[in-house]
Amino acid sequence: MFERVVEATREQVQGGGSLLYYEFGRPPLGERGALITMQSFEQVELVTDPATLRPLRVSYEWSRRTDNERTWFFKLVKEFTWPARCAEAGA
Amino acid sequence: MRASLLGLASVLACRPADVPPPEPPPAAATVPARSQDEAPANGPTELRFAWESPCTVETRTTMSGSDESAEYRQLLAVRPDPSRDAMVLSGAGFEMLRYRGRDPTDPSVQHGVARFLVTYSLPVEFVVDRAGKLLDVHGIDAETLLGVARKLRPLTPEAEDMVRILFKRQDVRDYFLYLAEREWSAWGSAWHGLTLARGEERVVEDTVEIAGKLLPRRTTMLHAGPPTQRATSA
Repeated sequence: MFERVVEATREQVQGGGSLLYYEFGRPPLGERGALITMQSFEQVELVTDPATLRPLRVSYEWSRRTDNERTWFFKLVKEFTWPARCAEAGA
Repeated sequence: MRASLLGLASVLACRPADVPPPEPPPAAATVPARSQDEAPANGPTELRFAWESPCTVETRTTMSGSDESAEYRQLLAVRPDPSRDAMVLSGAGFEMLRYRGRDPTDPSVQHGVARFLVTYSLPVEFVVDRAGKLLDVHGIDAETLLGVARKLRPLTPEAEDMVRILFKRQDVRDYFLYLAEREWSAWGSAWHGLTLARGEERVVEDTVEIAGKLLPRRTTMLHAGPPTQRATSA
């Protein structure tokens, strides 16, 4: 499992900041205050094939949290089916 | 790969033109790990990128979130880069399976499906080195992206000019690369070179520059053991 957390205040990113940009002025935040602690939170879980070391399943979730409440998230779960022997498509 | 384009396009559309792109997270990277079962019971596991080329792998992706949900199948072709010791990853097929929980042929979701396919069908290619590091992204050019923008909504000539200028800016291209790296790092290469014992957790505190501002970041990495063990304990 791999996590990345970026934490900042609204004041710190007032001039921009794509990670947090969506949050400003949008529900459910509304006008909850001028200084809100927000987090960009990423979590990755990786499962690999013991024999080949290639990924079998990767789960990636990116969420934004405001005052510890998840206000937005995006999640991808990608499952890989590798061939027994590698070759180019159609080969 | 194509999924990244959805993120790229939507974030770009919402980003103020005068906001410089954020720096790529220094610790960002991703990927394949060494077998947890292969490692000695109490010994460390060495993680390394181990993709082969040429190869074609089938991927099935389930996407969910606050804004959209979908399931799709895609072939991912990996081939050697003819000009350097690297690999080129490209989408080789795309099949929509579900959209917002419905069959993609359902008339009630056809508009959303069409929009989804447009944004996910850009001919983007990732170039990665043998350690999985993202070197370049092909297919992010002004005319290609403008074509996508036109399909998403009608553009006036003035708007087209603005979009064209925006897409040609180096900082905008850098921002696309940053987003591509961000996604690729989730399933491509971030783990290369990392050695962790089963159950070991490592925390790194550093900063990341976003829009010219240094923000604190904490990264936690955990070797969670075999997936069955993980599922049981979750």
